[in-house]
Amino acid sequence: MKLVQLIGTELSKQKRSFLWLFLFIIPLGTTGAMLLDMVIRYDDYLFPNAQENGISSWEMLINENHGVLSWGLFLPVFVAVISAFIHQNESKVDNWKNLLSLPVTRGSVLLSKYLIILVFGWLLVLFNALGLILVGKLTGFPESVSFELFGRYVLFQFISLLAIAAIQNLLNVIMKNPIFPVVVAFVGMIVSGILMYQHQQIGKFFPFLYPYIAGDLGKFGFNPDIAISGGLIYGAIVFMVGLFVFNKKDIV
Amino acid sequence: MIKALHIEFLKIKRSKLLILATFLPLFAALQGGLFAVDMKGKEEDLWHFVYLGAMTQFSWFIFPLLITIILSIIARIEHHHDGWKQLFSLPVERENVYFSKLLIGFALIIYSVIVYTVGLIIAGISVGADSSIPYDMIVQRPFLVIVASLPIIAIQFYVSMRFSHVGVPLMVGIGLALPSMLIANSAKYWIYYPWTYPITSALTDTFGPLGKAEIMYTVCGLSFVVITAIGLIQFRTKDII
Repeated sequence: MKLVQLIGTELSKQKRSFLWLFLFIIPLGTTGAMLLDMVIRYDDYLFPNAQENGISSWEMLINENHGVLSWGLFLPVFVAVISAFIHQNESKVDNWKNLLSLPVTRGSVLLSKYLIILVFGWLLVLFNALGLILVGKLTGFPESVSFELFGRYVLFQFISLLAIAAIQNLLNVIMKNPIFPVVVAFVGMIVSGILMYQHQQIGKFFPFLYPYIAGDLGKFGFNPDIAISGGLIYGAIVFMVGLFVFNKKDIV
Repeated sequence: MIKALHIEFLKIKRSKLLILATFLPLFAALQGGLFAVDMKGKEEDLWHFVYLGAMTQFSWFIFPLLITIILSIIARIEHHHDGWKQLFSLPVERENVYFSKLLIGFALIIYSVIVYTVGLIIAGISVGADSSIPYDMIVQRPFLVIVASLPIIAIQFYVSMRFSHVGVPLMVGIGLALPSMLIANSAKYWIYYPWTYPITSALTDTFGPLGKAEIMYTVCGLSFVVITAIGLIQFRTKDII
């Protein structure tokens, strides 16, 4: 069975899943929250403040979404929930046995799950960004949309998720209870909150902080390039560790 | 009922729930301590900064997500491998099962708040805050947060019991916690969003219920009773085959 077929199998498992609802509801919620933010504060505070700081309304909107709403902090936990959905079938009825009795290599099974987690995570990021553009249009920002800014914002988050998806994929393989990998991401989010304010040097090496760093447009002084290198390095290393662990995993 | 409670207690006794309920609130207390350290020398009332640093994260997402995780795990014990079937083949009343799970969940939530307040006191003493502990702030207000979280507890318990897929309660709990701090900033709309209640009840200096405290606590009590009752009615008629 080829990797493409395995990905198709994974997608068909999610055909009637609540995961699709999750993918639409979360960005819908962030869009609603940002719209509310703009309705209440744009004319009186956010726009004058953006002009004072020499940034466009779109940059300000990304700052609000990423820092004030804390999309960047919550994103690893959302990816953890996506991973829990993707692994649900295997963990609920011990489906590893059935899956691995098919003519597939363990490596391709793990890779297909990793790619599906990534694709759903990327969709979440993309829908969030599209929601932001809608908010800007509805609010009537005077500047035209900067696709370069949004492209960079989305791409940096995409790459930062390489690390998170690999970690969550590995945790879901190791842990029987699918809630615990989410707990790990939750703890990662709490620690990120501590590191980003008080220990920025350590924060550069903390993968759960990368989605936040990916969208940091200077507010906390991180260099977003850290999210690129960190995402790629952690993604590759953790995936390889996952492959090693999964190959050794005893599936009785 | 006592027997049902005892059974539920035995189920969680060797689970990792107690560890989670102990360590997760301590992260918030640590955050409070670190925030107060930054303020040392600049500000006099360090207790205030221990509280502020800890409570901002605790009321915004640590506590709501802790509630989500605790109640999801309690319900999952039965959802996993269709445990409901085995449970209801025993001579147990469904009401007792329902309330014993809710009570155990409550006990763990209260326990986590106790750990949190102890953590706050230790953090305050460690950073050298003055010897008179402001109990009304450090102890009383965290318990008020439990009352303000009643709608969240009721909704999370309902969703956890209703859906066998563990992702659903996690999705609801985490997704709805995200915009709560932003909505709490709105003097007009926060009252319509129960996930802001822990924030407004805890951070009274910054947000405060703005004269709507009575409405908020009434909504908390009423919504808890109504949602729990709906959950119970559905649970009594739940088809477990």
